[in-house]
Amino acid sequence: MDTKSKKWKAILSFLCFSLGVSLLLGGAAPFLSLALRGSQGVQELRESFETDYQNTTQFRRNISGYLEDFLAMASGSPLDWYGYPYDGEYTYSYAQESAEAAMEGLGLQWGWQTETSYGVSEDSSSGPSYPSDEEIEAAAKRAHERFAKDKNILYTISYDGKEKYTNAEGTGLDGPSLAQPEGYNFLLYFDGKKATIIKDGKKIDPYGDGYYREENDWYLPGYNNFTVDEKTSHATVTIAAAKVPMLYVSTDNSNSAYRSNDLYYLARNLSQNRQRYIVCAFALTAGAVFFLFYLFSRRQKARADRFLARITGRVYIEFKVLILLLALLFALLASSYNMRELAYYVYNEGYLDFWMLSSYLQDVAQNTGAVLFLFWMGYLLVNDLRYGVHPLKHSLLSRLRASHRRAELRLPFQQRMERRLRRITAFQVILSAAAAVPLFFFMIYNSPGALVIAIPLLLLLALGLWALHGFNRDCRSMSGDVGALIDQIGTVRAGNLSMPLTLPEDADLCQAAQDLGDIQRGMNAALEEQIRSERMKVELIANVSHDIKTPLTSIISYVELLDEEEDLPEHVRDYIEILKGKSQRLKTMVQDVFEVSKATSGQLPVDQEELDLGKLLRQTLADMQEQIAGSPVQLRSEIPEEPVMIQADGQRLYRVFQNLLQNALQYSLEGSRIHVSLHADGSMAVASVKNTSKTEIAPGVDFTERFVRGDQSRTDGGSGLGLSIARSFTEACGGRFSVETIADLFVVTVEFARLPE
Amino acid sequence: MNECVLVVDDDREIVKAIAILLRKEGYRVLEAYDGLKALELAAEQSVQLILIDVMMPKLDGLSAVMKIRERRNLPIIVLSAKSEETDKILGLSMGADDYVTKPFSPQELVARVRSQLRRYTSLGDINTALSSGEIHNGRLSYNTEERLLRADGDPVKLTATETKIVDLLMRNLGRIFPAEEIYRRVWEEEAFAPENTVMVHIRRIREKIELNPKEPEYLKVVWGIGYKIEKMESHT
Repeated sequence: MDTKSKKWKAILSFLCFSLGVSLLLGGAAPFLSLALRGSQGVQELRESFETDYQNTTQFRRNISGYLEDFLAMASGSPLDWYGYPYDGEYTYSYAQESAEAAMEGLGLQWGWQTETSYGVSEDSSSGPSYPSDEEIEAAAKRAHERFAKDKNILYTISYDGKEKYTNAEGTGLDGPSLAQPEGYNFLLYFDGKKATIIKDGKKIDPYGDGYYREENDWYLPGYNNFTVDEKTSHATVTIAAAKVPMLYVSTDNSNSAYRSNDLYYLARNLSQNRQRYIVCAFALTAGAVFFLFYLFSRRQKARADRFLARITGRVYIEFKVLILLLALLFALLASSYNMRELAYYVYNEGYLDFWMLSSYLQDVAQNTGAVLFLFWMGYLLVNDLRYGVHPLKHSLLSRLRASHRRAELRLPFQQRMERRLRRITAFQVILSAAAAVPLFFFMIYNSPGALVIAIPLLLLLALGLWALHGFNRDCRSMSGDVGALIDQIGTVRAGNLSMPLTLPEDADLCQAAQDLGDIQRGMNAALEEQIRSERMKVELIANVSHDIKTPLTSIISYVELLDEEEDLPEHVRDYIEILKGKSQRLKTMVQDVFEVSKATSGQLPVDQEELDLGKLLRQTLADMQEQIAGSPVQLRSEIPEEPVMIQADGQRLYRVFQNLLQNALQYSLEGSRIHVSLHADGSMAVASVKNTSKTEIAPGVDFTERFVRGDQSRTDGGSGLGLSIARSFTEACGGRFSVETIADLFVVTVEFARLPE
Repeated sequence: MNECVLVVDDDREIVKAIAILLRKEGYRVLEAYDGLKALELAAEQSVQLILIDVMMPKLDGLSAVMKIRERRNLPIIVLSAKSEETDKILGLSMGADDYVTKPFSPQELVARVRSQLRRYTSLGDINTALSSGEIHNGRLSYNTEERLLRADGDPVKLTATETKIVDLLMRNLGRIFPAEEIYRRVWEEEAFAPENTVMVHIRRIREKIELNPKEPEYLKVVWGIGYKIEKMESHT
């Protein structure tokens, strides 16, 4: 329940974050581009909310432009942009012109024909020639044709009182009387000196205090410091602008079907911008609200981030970076302001000015989709780096490296090193070539005399390659030696101690090989010593037991003879009985010691065969049934009827259980029970003999110790080697023998691997 | 009667003890304390059986056995402190008829001497006269028609059940019979825990036919599998 609500909180928090950030980013783009433009931007924003397009700077600028063109047409001056052999000079702006004029301390002269304007051009050899009057006339006509079809602007252009061009026939447009046609609520009349503006029937004074400043609304001649020249002062121009601009299309044979329609587009852009700003403002507000929500629950978001990181963690880091780079490239290239243009500009101008860059960035910022995509890809990458489990290690490269490493490890050491050396050599040669070839060509192309330097350099290169070759050879021989050493270690590990590794005297690893050889010899000596002492021990015991057996034979024989004597007193007969018993025990003991020593040194011959352990136990019990019946304890056996097949030497194993049972019979508490059981435990056959000890079992006595010396309490009767024999014979047959004591309960377990039936 | 036994051992007390034991049984005894002397006596005297130790000065027992075997075919019992299976096999392959490890029990030794002498003196005839239905196996022979078992030529008194068991095992020398099968064939009914019953009878038969019932040579338990009568290889 709790985890579920936590999960939902995390999802909610993350949703708030993602929506908030996306909306903020998307909404901020146009405002950002406005902010980059400073006060201009603020003005643009303000004007976007003008309902009347005529109240905008752009409208005034357009009207000024029209007036400028019409005045040029009236006075027969050349039009800078139209019909004139253009020569790349038209970036010459009014502002610049006026600034220059101001700097020269001259009054600004309206017009294009001034000698000074073109003086510079004429000075240069390839400058344009001044156009003839006919050319100017033709250009003016073409301009009129272009303007006339756009009925958003009605105009009448007169010179010296004579009407030259108009598109306002029959509309009732009349400048001097300031009469406006129907649907046209803006009128500008230029009488040759000053302009008169009427909007919605009201007269507007564009000149203010009569002096032109850059921040003035209207850029029109007629100011005290902005006048027209003598030629232009004969012209009168009337311009009317439509209240609601329309899109004018005409289908004459000439070039374009669409007319200029400046005002229509102006009005349309205005309303579009307005809508965009409103939408963006909404997005910003909503984004801010979401973001605020996120800020309150930002702790929960970490959970979602970790979840995301788990998902993205499965992607290789290379793909992540690649996608991010693609997103960046997409964002940069998707801009209408093409990167190529920017590059071209940088290439031509040699630098990138702030204006250029900022306008480019504005453009990039306009592309909301690309920006959001870029942002989220970046976010996922950062998130992955922050919460992912070794995000940098989960890469295609490391994957490839690991698989390569695995494949390499399968090869023997020598081949591995050989491959690495080959790789390094190849890289070295390629690098040297990459360095040498350009150098060589550079020298030849630049100055053939540089060959004098090139030849020693080439010699140096050859020397370097020769040294490299030598180094590689040494490495190869050393890796061969290391491989041989590794193989030798494996050989020693496998138990071959007789063949030492010999490396040449001058080999780097000669000493190591010698040391290994010494270790080998030492181990061999130790092993031989151990085997010899083991053999000696058995031989010693064999000899000792043999030496004991001969006098023992006499003892037994003469005790027997003594026993056959008649008329002996009763107490002498008792003595003889004791002698008989003890000499018999000595006989078994000698035999047992010999066999135990052989078994523990691994020299006991065993005749392994498949047998049924259950049957063996039953036979043993049957074999000893008289002994069992004659003892004061009872025997309980739990042996399954079905065969429990094992691999062992039956005769030896019989001795094992015989000894165990004899022990149990001898040392059990009177009236107690001996439990003999056998059960199959998985792949093991487990037989156990349990009895309750007559005497207290001394704690801490290791009954399984070889050459039972701690077994003092069990030496009366028998050889005292019962458990030792049982243990060593079991192990000689490949079984497992263990003794466990729980209070006075004595448990011996014999385990063998079961054979499949 | 009065067979002559040559006892050879470098331990004079042992020779003396054996001599006393054998003389009590009515045998003539010659004593020797090294291999050369033994060879000498065996050549000079009429000896029916030799008891010889392995480790002796001048000439060791096994070499002496080989030398004696070159000329004479008489029972030789090797006495040795070496109890290894390999030592026994070596001794027997050198031409010895029996191998007794020291320290031996006097009664067993005497029984073995008697057994060997009986086979040497009287069984030689039986061996040649192969009558039908006779199975010979070392000291034992079994007549399938009479259902009579002989050890060293003497009839062994067996009960009816014991005879059935002997009949089964003697007819299938060397084959191992699980207790269940013996029970089924002898008692002719299905067995439930037959091990004890069979083992009791086996032990009784051993008492009657084995020289040392504690270390049986013929009627053996194959631990974990069953019971069999060992098939002896006759070496004559």
